[in-house]
Order: sequence, then C-alpha cells, then structure tokens
Amino acid sequence: MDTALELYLEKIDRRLRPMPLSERADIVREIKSGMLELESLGLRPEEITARLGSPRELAAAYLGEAIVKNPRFSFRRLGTMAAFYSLAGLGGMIVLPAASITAVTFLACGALIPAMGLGAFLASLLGVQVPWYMVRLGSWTAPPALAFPISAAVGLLLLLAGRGLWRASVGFVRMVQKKRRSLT
Amino acid sequence: MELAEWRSQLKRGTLEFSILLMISQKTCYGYEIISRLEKSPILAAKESTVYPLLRRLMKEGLLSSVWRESAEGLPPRKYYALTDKGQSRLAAMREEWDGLLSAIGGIMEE
Repeated sequence: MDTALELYLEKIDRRLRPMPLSERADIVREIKSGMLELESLGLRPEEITARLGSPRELAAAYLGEAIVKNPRFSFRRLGTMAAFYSLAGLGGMIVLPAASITAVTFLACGALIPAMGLGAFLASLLGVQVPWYMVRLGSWTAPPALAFPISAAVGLLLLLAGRGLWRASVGFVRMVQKKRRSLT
Repeated sequence: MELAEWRSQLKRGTLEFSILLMISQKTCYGYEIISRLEKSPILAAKESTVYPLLRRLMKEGLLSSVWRESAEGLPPRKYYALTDKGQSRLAAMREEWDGLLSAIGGIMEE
C-alpha cells in the first residue's frame, strides 16, 4: 500500500484515540479496505485521499456520530467530546470546553454537597461538633438540623444545571454535525 | 441556494432509509453502498458520511457486520446485514414513506 495512504490511516488512528481500541482498529481496517477497493479500480493515492476528505474531517465525523448517538454522560464521552471540539473550529474551541467542563463540575458538586450536608447532619445527631463543616450564607449559619435539607436542595439545583449544560453541549455537537453534513 | 438546502435536507432525511433498504435486499460492504448511491446525484454521499453512519446504525443494533476475505487481489470486506431490530425499523420507515408519498400525491391531485 502507498505510503501516503498509510500515513493517512495513521493520522485517523491517532485522532480516534478516545474511542475503545477494538472499535478504532475496526474503523481503520474498514477505511483501509475502502482505499484498496478504490486502488483496485485504478485511482491514484491523491485521488483516493481527495475522495475521503482530510483525516481530520473524517475522524471528526466518526467522533461526532459517537457523541450524537447517546446523550448520556460518561468520562469516555467527555474524552470523545474533547477530541471532537479540538476539530470543531473556533466556536467549538470556546463554547464546548466551557459548557462541557462546567457541566462536569456542576454534576460533581451536585453529588458532593448533599453528601457533606448529610455528614454534618449525622455528626450533629451524634453530638459531634465539626466547626469547619457547616452551611453558611454570609453571616448566617444554618443549624445542623437544616444542613442536610439545604445542601440537598443546592445539590439538586447543581445537578439540574449540570445536566442542562451537558445536554446543551451535546446539542451543540449535533448542530455542528448537521451543518457539516449539509456542506458535504 | 434555497433549493440546494432543501435537496440536502431531503438527502439527509432519506439516506438512512436508502442504506437500510439496500442492505435488506442483500448483504453489502461499505464501498458497494457508496457506489450504488453515487448512481443517483440526489442520494450520492461521501465516504465521510456513509462509514460513520453505518457504524452508528450498528451501534443502534440495526445492523450486524462480518469481515470476509475477497477474491485474489481484492481486500477483505466488511459486510453488513440487517438484524431483526433493523428489519422492524425498516418496515416502520417504509410505512412512513408510503404515507408521505400518498399524502403528497393526494395534494397534487386536488
């Protein structure tokens, strides 16, 4: 196989790194099979790569489909999204990192805060004083009995905000995908 | 410009249906699908659209795939077939498609 084509496949492989290894290998194998198919029809390597588009675009198409197909959150998906936004142009450089990273932070805090509130509440039941472990708004400090309900409410709000932002990130990717498809 | 946009929307809306239809007739490999689509400009889609789409359909459980060796001088090919879920999705799409055609036909005859 031509070295330009080998190089193309290597680039694709590198850009698909956030995907599982077996899936990545299968994708590269399929693209390679398509290249050999075109080669056997007498196309020159330049013509083949022109048909496929840049490795960057082709990899972005795979990553985009992988994000769009399932809007649930997972760390692998965050990695996929990071790889996608590095390919999605300037708008993506600002909007996506901000939205997706804030979403993750909110989700994490939304889980952590109620857990800590519960901790403070249980400590007060046992009669233990934990001075640095309290709900505080300005100069007002919530009594330990209220710590859990307040932190649960705050946590819920954060979880909702985080989920909304995550959905917005997925929506943005979906929009970029659609625009990209209408261009081809 | 507006017509081009409408055409690309039509293409986008029917590509999945065309590909599932093609695979339901016989198992197909990626390049075979692309070259069959290329015969009609309204359906033509590039590698960068078709391959990722096939992968998504597989992830959704509509397609299954198997690698097979080819004749001398040709690369091994990845053949796609419809799963049961794919069959029923295609049947549902067909129904929608027939409904669309007869609705538009009805308007035209008014």
